[in-house]
Amino acid sequence: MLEIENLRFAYSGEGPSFRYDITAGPGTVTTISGPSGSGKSTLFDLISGSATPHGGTIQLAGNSMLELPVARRPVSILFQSNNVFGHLSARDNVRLGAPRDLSGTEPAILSALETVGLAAYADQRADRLSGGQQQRIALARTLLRNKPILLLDEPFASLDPELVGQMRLLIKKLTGENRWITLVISHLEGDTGEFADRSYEMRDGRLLPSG
Amino acid sequence: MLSRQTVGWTIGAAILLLIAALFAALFAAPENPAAPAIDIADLLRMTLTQAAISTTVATISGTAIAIALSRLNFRGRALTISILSSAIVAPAIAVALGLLTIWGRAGLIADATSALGVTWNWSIFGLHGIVLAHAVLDAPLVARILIDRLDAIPADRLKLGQCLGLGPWQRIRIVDWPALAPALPGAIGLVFLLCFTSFPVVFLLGGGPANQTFEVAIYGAVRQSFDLGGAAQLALVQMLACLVVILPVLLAAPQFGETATHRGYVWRPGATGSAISALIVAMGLLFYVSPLIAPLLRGLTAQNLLRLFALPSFWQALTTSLLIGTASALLTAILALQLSLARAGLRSRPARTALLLPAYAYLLTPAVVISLGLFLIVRAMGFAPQSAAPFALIIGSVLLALPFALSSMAPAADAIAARYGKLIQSLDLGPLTRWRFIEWPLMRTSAGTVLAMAFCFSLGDLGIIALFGTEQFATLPWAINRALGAYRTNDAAAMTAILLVLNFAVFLVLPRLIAGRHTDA
Repeated sequence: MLEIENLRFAYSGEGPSFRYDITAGPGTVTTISGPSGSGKSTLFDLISGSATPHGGTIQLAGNSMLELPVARRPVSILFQSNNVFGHLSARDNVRLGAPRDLSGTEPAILSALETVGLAAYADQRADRLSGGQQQRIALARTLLRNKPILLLDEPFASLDPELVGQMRLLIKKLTGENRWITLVISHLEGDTGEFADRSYEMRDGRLLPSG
Repeated sequence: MLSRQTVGWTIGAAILLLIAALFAALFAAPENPAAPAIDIADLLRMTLTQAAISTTVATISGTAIAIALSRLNFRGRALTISILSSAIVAPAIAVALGLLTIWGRAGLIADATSALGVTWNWSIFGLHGIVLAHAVLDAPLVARILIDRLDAIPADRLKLGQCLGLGPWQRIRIVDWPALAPALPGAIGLVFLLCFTSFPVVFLLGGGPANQTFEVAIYGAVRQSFDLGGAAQLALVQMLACLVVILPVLLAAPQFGETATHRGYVWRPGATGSAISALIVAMGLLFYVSPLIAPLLRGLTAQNLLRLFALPSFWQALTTSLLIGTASALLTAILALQLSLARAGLRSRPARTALLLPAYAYLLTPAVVISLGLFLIVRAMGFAPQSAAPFALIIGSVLLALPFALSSMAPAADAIAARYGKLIQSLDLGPLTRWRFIEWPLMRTSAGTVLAMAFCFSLGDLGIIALFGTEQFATLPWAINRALGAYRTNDAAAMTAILLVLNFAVFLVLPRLIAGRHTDA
């Protein structure tokens, strides 16, 4: 269980301040919506360690995450773009997610690519693939990393509607199978329907359950 | 009223005509049969060797500084980048003299060791001294070019790499390298060109004929053997070599006058990585700044200044330098502005390239070669070189500064045309209204940079004055050179200190004064 309580952050100067309270269980998808600049991505920066909160707690299974350095946080993150290194092949991009002690890395990489339907493109340069395919490579990498928390920052914004449907199904399936705690920032209406188990909304600097 | 294009093409044609005149003068130069033979193959080998070693050292050091700086976020980072930027206008003669002040037989280290009872025997003269000076001058330049690329890496990419736990080498290979690779050929080409055509450094630190390069050999052929034909032959071979070696890489040259990109996110390494990065940046700064501070420490003493201020020749050199610097800067800015505005109004790609090409041709023409060409033209016209010296110096300085000025102003003019071109047309604004209300406010930042850069180029030049300088007609760098030749090292240090103060004051203050609170398009 991921529990965030009274987590506070403010940008220096006269920037806005934010407060977050959220609970999310394993195998569930939680969506977060809100206008631009409302502090959605800041929450992901705080969970992943890219920003330091001014107060509050983030706990996973009862253990605080705040003391962990970025690289050791139990988090995988996918952005709207820039999720793959364009000059590397799909295979090498996925390889970057392999834990150092993973034995039989090659079959695991191929299996991850197969899960997202891209085994045939393993040796293609990532920048030659479509936006949807690049997002799936990034998902394959998160499979290999197998971290308990998956953060998706507007992952469907640059995809066409048909691909969005496919990606939602894939993420939902992988979240259930791997018992991930998946948080999704999204502006798309479809993301709050069947796709999400719970939905939150940023309003006036606070994260509140929506609906 | 003449259209902007007409003015632009006229300027382009005039510059082209000057190139033709320079070449004609070089081809027609009379030989001196009594002059000693010049071994061109040996000169080429020596010049290429020193340029290759200098470029390698400067590129590796500059890249290390840029990478280290990209890992850090500290108060004073912007100032550090400004200091690195100043390398483009740091007078080479001051750096050479600074290194002599530190490492020379009568330098600071020799003073310190003799206080400890140890004799300092190491000599800075020779290939190692040249490489050291070029590294001081060019490593900050490489760092300045590359730091922009590293700061422009998208925040998401840095966060992703950090989240994936990439190690230091993986980070360089996977995250940094794709950003650096497109800029490196241009940076390497530019540094190679600067080292290949370097004059003051080789002249002062070369230590004799064994380390002579084309520039110094041309100077020797004119001033010592009076072999104008031989000098012209060397100049032509040098230009050809520049063209063959440099042109392919230079096409990818980075632009100057770029503003630092906004940093979205800083991926700080661990404590050890941060400490190593800080150490690299500190050492890089010390390496660059110490030769510039040394002449200040040695030269700016009351005794030195009082003696110097009593010399009429110093005031004459200072006045000449300031007048020629001001005239060169104004003329460079006016020409670059006219060419940039004319090009911005052209749609045809070949025409746009053709308009600026003559000005860019001077990027391949070293200062001494321009000086030699002007020297020969002046003689062919029947004037005494000394009488035409101020004009030759202004023309030479403008030609050298013009490519850098254009790479700053042309993109600004293009941006205005792309953004407001249709609106300006629809409002039917006249050229003066357009200039006053739109172009000047939006271009004054780059105009300030160009004025400062051109002034500093002219102020620190030793290459053009080398063939025109006399006892009666001197600029500050020429007076420094003469003082060194007469073993008046304290006078040389004091004049270098004044040159440095003037140079950096203008470089830092002038653009801000002119830009005010405005920002370019």
